[in-house]
Amino acid sequence: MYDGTLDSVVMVDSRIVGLDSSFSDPEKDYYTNLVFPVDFTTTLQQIELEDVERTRLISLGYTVQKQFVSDVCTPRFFISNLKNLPESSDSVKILSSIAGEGGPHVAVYRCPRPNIVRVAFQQVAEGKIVKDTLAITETSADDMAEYKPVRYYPVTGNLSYINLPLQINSTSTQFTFTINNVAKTMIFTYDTVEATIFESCGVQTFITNLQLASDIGTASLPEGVKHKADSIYDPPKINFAILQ
Amino acid sequence: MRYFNSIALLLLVCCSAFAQKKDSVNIRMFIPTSIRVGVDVVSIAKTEFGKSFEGFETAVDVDLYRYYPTVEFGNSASSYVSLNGSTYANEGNYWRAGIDVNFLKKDPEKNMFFLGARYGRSKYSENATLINTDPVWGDYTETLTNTDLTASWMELTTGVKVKVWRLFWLGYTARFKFWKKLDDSQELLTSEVPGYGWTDRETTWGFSYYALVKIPLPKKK
Repeated sequence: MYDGTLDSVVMVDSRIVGLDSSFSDPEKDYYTNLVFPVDFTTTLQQIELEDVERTRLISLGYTVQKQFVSDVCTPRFFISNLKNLPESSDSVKILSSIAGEGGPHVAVYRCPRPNIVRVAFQQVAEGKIVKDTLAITETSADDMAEYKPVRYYPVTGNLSYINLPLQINSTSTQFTFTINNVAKTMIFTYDTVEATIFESCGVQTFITNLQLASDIGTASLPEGVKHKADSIYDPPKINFAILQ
Repeated sequence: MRYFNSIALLLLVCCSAFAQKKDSVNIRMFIPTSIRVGVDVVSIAKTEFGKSFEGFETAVDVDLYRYYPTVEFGNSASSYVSLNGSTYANEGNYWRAGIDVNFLKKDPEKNMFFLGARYGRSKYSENATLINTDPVWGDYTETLTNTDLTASWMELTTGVKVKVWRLFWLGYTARFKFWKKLDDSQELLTSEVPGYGWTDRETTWGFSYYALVKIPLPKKK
């Protein structure tokens, strides 16, 4: 992430330019790292990382040295002087210039997402507030075309919390969930403000005055909604807790 | 009086030590009496009976009391073919210079059990045709050549040299080779250096078996 901590990123696809193969695992949505083979037949390689927000280009230059090994082995290829070329996205940084050695070689930094709100589901048991789990079978937003599909966030299944991307070009976002074949609605209202917090990220739109109106857990709302945090964090922290 | 005795005792010890040193090592002992010239039998045998090696190695040493300055010179050409068809060949000259110290000080024939050190240097050329089939990048074939490369290294040596008949001597030298310096800026990395051997490890071993002729030098009066 922008502060150097390891991030978990939803990856739509990852590919080497010029190759048909995808290097993403179709069973996996979240990645903290990806492994790519380096083309030893050339000294330039471009990788495209397509995540929810954008497609990033990693353009790498490097030196390839070759060596005959023995009469029973195939040749050895040494990749060194790994360089980030100007065509790369501005968030690409070389960590280690010799391929094959342990540890990550390239880091891709991303700017914080200022629009992910987290809602936690909780219940009261023996006088204490504990984690609850809701079986959500479907989630949809009021304007699906405005942002990338919510399927890249954990929005269905047995969830104890849900991360919801708010529309930053609007002052309200409505989500509809299907729980036990019953549709429930959550409506977030907020103000937006533009600011430059990180120089490399430029002007970003941040959310203020976040409010929730919902018919999820109708018996306890609005009293059951506990406003936990005004600020939106990345990775998300609980902004609202809903007591069942 | 006590200080005088101490100083006298110190002078006595120093003088006796100096006298002993003077007795044991005479400057005339460092006048060389012979030059020994030999060839490495291992190189000749590998050339004759091996398929991938051609070369020779000669050695010259001279006796300076128990110290034997030594120079070795050789030429070698090696070629290899791997199972997938890749080839590698090198050719070059090399020399080593150093000194051996004989630990058989009192042997009248000057037979040797020695320890020594060498500095080695090689000038060589090499070429390779590398073939590889990769599941992602497909078939790859490339021919690469390096010319006029140099390499250097150090050696620790040990061995024996024994007089077998009149002027003829036999002896072997075992070598521990280390501190190699290669030109690693080329696209083709060196696999084997003439005179040093394979470069895949930081250190390596070598062995020479010499047949030598000892040529006496005229005695100075």
